Amino acid sequence: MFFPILFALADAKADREIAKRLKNREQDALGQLYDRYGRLVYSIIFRIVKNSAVAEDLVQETFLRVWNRVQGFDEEKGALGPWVLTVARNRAIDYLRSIDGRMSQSMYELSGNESPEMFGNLEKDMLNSDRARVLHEAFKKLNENQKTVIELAYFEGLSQTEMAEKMNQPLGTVKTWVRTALQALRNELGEALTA
Amino acid sequence: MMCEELKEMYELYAMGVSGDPERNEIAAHLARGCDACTHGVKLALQTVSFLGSIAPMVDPPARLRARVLAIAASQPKSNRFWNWQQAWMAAAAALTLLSLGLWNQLIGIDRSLDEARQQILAMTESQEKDRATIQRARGALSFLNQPETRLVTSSGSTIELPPKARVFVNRRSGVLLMAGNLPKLGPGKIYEMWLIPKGGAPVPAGLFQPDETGTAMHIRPGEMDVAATAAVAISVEPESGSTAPTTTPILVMGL
Repeated sequence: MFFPILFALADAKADREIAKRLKNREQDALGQLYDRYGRLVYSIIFRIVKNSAVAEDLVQETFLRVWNRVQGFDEEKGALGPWVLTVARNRAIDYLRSIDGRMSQSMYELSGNESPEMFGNLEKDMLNSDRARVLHEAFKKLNENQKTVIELAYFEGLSQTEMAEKMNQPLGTVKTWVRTALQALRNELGEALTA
Repeated sequence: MMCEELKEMYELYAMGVSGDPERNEIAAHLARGCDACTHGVKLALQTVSFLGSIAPMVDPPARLRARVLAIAASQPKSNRFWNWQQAWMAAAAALTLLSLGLWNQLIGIDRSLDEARQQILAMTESQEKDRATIQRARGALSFLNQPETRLVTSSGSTIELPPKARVFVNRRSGVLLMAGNLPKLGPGKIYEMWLIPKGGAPVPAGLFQPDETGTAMHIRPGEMDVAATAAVAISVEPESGSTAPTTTPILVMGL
């Protein structure tokens, strides 16, 4: 079931065209954006909130935010897919934290991480689709503890301290799992870059 | 801290889950335009976004596409001042306007229109989010406040629901309290909300009475220092209100 993300991220030219048309406020461009990323966005949000009605609301919020902020996006050098997926994940984590009473943390951290400027001006070392494929394969190679901490961070927005509490493990142990997991993912991406 | 010490934290920062002091350090590096950290965090943001591929793929309901497209339909069709054809005509007109000394005024009007448009878009986005949040909260409160609703524990036993509250804070707009299962008060009594500063005494934040189902919604409008606030609390007070809590708070929500 990994093909949709590869398919969506592989066509950078199409993304540039969509971004350009979104900036021109062409309404059917939003439909094209949804057709490319809607299923991915819904799947990520649904995995996080585990509620279809809430997921629908948050998908709508995601595309509304992209629509309203696309003027700051550089269609020539920007990565549209990663930006959309980040906005989607942040909406869902924001929701999760709001119902868990962790709203102040979300306001502090997530809002600055999704500005369109943060998704531009990167060297095109690898196609996004290649990077996504390598990362997906690298994740599968992690041991169970490493997978769990990455999932807790990405899908539940938990800090290392919160993970330690939830997993009933010493903080140092959790930090080791996180550090080695991220290192393994970085190594795989690095090897792919130099291959 | 040096960039070298921070680079292992870029992905956690990108996910919004890094701890202090690294979180503040990375934010400070970004704020001062540190090239290494900016590049590192940008790369981490892209990398982390691909973790979404771990999620099992689920088909969204067909109606969702129409809901999303309704966003665009409700917005101005174009925020571009000109298309190409209009641009040629406008260029010719601009020469005339220049000679009349009106060009600067036109630029000013254009800029004002753009600013106004951006403000409207931001407000629309904010309203949409608030509306969705309030709808969800109302739905949850309605469910919780139905007399037949019971809490089922992992052992299978059911218990009466205790008073519960959800607090929303906004540094510009204040505090919104939504509470349920509040006990009915005797005559001469009222609920009072308190803002408890870090290391300070509770500050009165308004009086309120729940409805017959025990549900209450109370707003303390105005700016607030969220970072300096430790908690929001509710206590039972004489109906004229108190300047400091006279009973033990029935609910305390830490921020």
